[in-house]
Amino acid sequence: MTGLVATFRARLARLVDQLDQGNRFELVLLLTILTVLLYHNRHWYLSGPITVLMGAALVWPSARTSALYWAAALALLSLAGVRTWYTLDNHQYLFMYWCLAVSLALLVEAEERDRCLARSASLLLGASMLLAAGQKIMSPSYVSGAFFEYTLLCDWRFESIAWAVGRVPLDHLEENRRLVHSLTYGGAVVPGPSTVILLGADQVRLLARAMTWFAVVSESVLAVLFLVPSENVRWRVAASIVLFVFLVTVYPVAPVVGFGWILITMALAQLPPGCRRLRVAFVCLFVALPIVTVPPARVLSVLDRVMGG
Amino acid sequence: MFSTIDSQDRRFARLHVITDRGEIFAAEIPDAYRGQIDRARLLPGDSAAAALAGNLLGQAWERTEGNAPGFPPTAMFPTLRPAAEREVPDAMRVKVKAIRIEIYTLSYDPSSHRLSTELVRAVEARKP
Repeated sequence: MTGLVATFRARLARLVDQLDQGNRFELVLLLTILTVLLYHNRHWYLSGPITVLMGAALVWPSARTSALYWAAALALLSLAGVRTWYTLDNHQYLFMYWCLAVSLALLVEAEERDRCLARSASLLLGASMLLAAGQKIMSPSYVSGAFFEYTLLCDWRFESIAWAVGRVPLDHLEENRRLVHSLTYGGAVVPGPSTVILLGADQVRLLARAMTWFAVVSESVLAVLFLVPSENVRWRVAASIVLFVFLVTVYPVAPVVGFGWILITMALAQLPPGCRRLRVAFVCLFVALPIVTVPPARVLSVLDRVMGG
Repeated sequence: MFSTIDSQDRRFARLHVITDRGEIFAAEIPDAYRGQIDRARLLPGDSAAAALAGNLLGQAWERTEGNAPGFPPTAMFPTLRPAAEREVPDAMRVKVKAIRIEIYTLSYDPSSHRLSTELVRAVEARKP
């Protein structure tokens, strides 16, 4: 056991060294390619070219340091986006802005690139958080707590937390989803109901209120931390730590991996040199994030029944 | 970073077909019209919904049966569906007078735990 721990620690130390000594700009480009490759908007005729373009940069490293390459990526993402802008997830817009930022950073002198990309990353992170908090505050159904109450009860992605924290039985959550389905699709063949009563609302009320204000406060704090134009290393490290805590607390509950990955990529881009542990932590989070998309509620529920009965 | 209940991407569409005999059928919107449905429910104004209603009005419609959520899969209900002109036997063909597209949003009242549908807009295309 001691040997295993020692080996793990030695390997981790080597990984930390590699990340620290390696080209940080290169790491950001690689993570951007992976993010766009796996999570771009699946458009029926533009998805192929985007996949080929991103795949090419994995094979030919020189391609990914070309401003023209990132301009081409931006053009393809924009073409796919402009056709379906009204259904596009908001992180898809972030992919486009980020490709533009990378392309512009590659046009400046090599020694200025890190600083240029770091500034773009800070502004994009800050603006995303500001707009996210602003949209929530302006929505009456969000501020009242109705949004998170509804989401906890009806959205499968929130099933685990509703079950684990709110103690809402899984069959109630399943029934709620069936009720929503009957509301939205019920009228397709026979007249559907116009009102349904959701199960388990009282059990998640407090949790919904907490999540409502946690999201607004944390996003507002992050907006301030990233939008204040500070060159102070401590300020930027503090902003990165708050963002890391935000990602670790939000994404296991709302597993939108593409969004999480682009935020992590930008976090790495704005991280000041020398923050070895934080850099490794963000890379580990990047690797771990897709795993949290597996809803643990079902597994835990089975374990609960086995242990209880 | 989440879409709220009242945001546009939570909207959904319902289709009603009105025959020349005055019957009203609730009908499932075919998958081939998915892009147009998205435009109708997400874009501001009536024009996208009106275009979809106009397109559906120009189709040949046939009588068929379909399942409904909340009922056993064996329960079948009369409905209509658009089909290619040449594929519809005369016995199954329905003369359509008008198409009505309704766009709804959901609203949730935490005090009563009620989730309700609210009509945002309704657009009708009618044959002269």
